[in-house]
Amino acid sequence: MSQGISAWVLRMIGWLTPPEHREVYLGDVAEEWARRRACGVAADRWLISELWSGLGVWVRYRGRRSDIVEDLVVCGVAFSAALVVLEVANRPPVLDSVRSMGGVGRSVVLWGVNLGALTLGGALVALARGRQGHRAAAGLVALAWMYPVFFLGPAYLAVADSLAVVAWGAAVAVAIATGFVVTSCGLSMVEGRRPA
Amino acid sequence: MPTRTGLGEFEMLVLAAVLRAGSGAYGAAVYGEVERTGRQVSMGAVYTTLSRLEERGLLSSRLGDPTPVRGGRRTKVYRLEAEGRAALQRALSQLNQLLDGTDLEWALE
Repeated sequence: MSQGISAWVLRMIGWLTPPEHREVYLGDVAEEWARRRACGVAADRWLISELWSGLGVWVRYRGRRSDIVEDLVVCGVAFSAALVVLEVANRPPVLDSVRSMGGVGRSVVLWGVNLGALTLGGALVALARGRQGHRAAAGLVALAWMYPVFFLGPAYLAVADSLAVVAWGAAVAVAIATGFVVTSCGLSMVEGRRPA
Repeated sequence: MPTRTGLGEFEMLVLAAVLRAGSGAYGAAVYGEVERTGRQVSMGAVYTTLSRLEERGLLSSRLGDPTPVRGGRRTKVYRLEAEGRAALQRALSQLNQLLDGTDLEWALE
């Protein structure tokens, strides 16, 4: 990996780190990276893995200042924004199938996906932050919201074509995958293990 | 909510690494001590655990001088406080007590 790319990876790690921790944490990463380069011990691969670890640092410090409501709002807004961007940009074309559905059905599907992603993401973030008191509640809320998405969504989608099902499934899969990524990084911080 | 007094397994490792690193117990050094045990960890995990232990009063820290190898960034040097030493001693004693009489018996010197 070139020095330029490595420097860029280090910069990205810095972006993920809250300002009050950035100098010291980046200094530690930079020092260890330099040591590994000097020893010829897979320094660049280690630096890439620390980028992944940086996500966990973000979860750890971000989580300290927020509560579960804010987590839910952040996940929902992010996912909703992504869907809006995709619609405005008219990408990918499969969203045309969802857009071609009737107004009520389309709204139910899109808001169901949004709310499902919001609560599932929030539940997983709460789990990553180890909030004992909120884990069960967050999980139940996520299940409650995902119920209409999983069962009502397909009923409305059945009147559209099969591409709309793919769009819906892909959106839910992305939301769940995002939640697992965040959870994995968060748990690695708590348990001290290298993220998978 | 009651204050947590126990130590997680990784927290024990980090406290022991701080003790071993002595006056030079900053993030990268503690990370190196943990890795030398054969345990593969991320720098982020070590850093956030040090931070968490400091919040619990088991460690204290001070900012050190910047160095060129760190890109001119300062270090944060950690010190094991009396509460941290006591917590580590307690955890090791509990482990020793549990293992007493088993085929994994070992003793603190």
